[in-house]
Amino acid sequence: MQNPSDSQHPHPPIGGRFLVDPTRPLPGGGGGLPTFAATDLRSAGTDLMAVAVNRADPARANALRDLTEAGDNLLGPLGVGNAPGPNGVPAYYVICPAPPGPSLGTSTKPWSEAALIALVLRPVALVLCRLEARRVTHRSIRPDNVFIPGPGQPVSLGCAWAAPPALHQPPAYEPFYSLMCHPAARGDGSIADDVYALGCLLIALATGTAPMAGMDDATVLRRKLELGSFAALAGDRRLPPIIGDLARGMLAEDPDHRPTPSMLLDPAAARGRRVAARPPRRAPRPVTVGGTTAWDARGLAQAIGRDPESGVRALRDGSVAHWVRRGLGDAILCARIDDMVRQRVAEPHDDESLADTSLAMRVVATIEPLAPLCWRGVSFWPDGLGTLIAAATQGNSELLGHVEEVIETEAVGAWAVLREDRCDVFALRTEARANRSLLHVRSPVGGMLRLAYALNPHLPCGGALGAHFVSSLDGVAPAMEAIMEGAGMQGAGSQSAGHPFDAHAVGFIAARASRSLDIEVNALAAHHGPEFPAMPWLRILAQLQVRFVPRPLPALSRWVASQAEPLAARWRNRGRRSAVETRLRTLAEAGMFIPIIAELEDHPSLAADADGARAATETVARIDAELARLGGGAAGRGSMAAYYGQEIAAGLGLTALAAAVVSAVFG
Amino acid sequence: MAGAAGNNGGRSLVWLQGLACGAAVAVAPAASCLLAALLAPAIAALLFDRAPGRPIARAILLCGSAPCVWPMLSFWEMGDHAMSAGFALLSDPRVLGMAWSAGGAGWLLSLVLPLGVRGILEAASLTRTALLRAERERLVREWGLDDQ
Repeated sequence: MQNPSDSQHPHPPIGGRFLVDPTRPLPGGGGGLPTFAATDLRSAGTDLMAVAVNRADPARANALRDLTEAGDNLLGPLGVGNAPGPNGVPAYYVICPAPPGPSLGTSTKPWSEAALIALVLRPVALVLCRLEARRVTHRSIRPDNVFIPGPGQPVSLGCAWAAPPALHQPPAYEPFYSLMCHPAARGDGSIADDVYALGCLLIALATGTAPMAGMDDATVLRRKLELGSFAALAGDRRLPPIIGDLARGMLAEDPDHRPTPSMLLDPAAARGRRVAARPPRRAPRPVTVGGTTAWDARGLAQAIGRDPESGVRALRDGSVAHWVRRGLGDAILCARIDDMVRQRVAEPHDDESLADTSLAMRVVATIEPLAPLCWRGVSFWPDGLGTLIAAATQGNSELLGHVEEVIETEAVGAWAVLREDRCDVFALRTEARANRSLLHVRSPVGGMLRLAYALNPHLPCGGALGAHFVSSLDGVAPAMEAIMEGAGMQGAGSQSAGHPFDAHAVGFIAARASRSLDIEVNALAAHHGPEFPAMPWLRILAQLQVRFVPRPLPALSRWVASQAEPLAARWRNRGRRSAVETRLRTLAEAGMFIPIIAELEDHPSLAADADGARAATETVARIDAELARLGGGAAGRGSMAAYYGQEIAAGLGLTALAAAVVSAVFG
Repeated sequence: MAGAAGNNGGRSLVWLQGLACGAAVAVAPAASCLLAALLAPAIAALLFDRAPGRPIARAILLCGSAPCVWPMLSFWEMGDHAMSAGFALLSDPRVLGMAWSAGGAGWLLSLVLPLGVRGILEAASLTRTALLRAERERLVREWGLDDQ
């Protein structure tokens, strides 16, 4: 039975419930992403917004999964799905409540201490407590993504689910270890990172100015490393005493030293909590690595991570160890670095560059356990690996090569071992091993594309299907049908350019497929040769049609059936083969895949045909033998003819003699 | 040794045949001469046919023997069995002509009949070949065996 809403709206509502109105943009609602008005068909509510997801920046799967019933003061996700964009182009949206008011970024008036505590700190801390309980982070706390319903009302955190964590964060709002990362690879992080951003927000609101505004990421990182986050952000500005004390703790470099959200619910207690963090040792003279000057161990780690080649040179010539021993006075760290360098020098490797990169990665993790994994100048958190691959697959082949190397060498596992008190080594190593095994699966079922889709459940399929923003299996077959209809590929060319069965589609289906499709996906992986793997695709499309699109897909089935026609050659009998081809064309017009498969996999018919072919072959062999015998039997027939001819002649003579004798005897 | 034994056997048979002929000439010289005259083509063929089993000579002998029955019977019924009686019969050109013509006919049959039989066999072979080729063509076309 047709849903009443289907007749009114050509595109089905998201989740059967939410309608997006692409003609009504909501500027500033999505914290940097395009936002449109949305309505809830169930409650007839219109106070919703749809945040458009960028193709290369997938929505946050864990948040969308775990953050149902987000609660007050948070624009939590209500749904996710496809709907037409402003120009009718397919788009992907995260549905959230609309912002209750303007964002805090629209006002430059400094906030009072009491207002900050009552309307910002406590409500946000409460939200962070709820997020922490659900093991979700926000990572988008910044003035333009925090909204205030009205004067004297608590603020609400905006939508942070339609893009990778912290992708759109200004550099001031991220701790140094997050700033070191590729913007797409900052990972979910921890709730302490949200506390850091909240501390920065408090400073911004208290002073009425955006901290470190106009500075690029590198400058902000350098200043934070040189001065420390609080000093870099607050500068010489006067802060209310409580806010100043709280912000100092919230902006601690070590996330373990920051107050937890539950502590922030009682600002007085949180203010009194002092974590005796040892200030980083600052050397009397700096060390320069690859053009970066470092005064302390953290700066050195950042310099090596940013330019590992120069870092390894400095490690090998001993200047780093010398500086650590003499400048920083850290003999233990110096000994650990020396051990790593000696081990590297003592053990020759097939790939020296790879070994140097690994050395740089391990040294960085040893010098600064808070630092992310640094590999060939690319830094990332392991939980940001998926979004990093997604960014790399958008044409950045160099980055893709680096990430592939990370997975191939299971660098995440080695990195985790070096900082085992700060991460779950077993989980990371298991994950690294699983990623490597996926990488080794025969492409295109395996490889980087498969990893990109497997690690990003909301990454839309690229390639030919890219224009249709297919983000789940249910959209694959209709999008393919639309492409075939558009291109008019009614079984014409065998490998027509632009068909949707490309590496992206294979990787996407392999990543999204349930166990029931494993056999078909593996058949695709096992397929060799340039010909189109018609049978595995037919089975996959049949399953997709049965499960998601129970309607005819004639353009698609025509093309696939035309590619499957060579399979009719399995029937040796030409009459049967011709009949199968005719039936295939008829079934393709009907647009259903299961009858096509049944026709091509008629095992009794195939067995009978094979038996007939075998008998025919044997008969032909027998005929050939007899023809050869007849062709080569002329001499034998000659001698036989001579023998029988002469015997007949003798017989005739004997008969005549016998007749003469009889006639003589009997008169 | 075996060849020697065979040769000895063949030579013994020749000796036996010679002995039999000698005995026949000794017992009935006129009849023997009459028969030898009537069967002269066969005797000549026996001398010249070196093929195993002497098939041509055998045909000439058998065919030539048939017209000899009546002259020999007539010679026997004359009673005196004298050489003159034999010559009298031989002087009849129909007797000798009939006997020698029959021998010639035997010779002709021994040459012509193998050719006829050869023709029949070749025709049967061609017919069979055509049938087999047609059947093969049908099977190949029906089962696509030429694609292999």
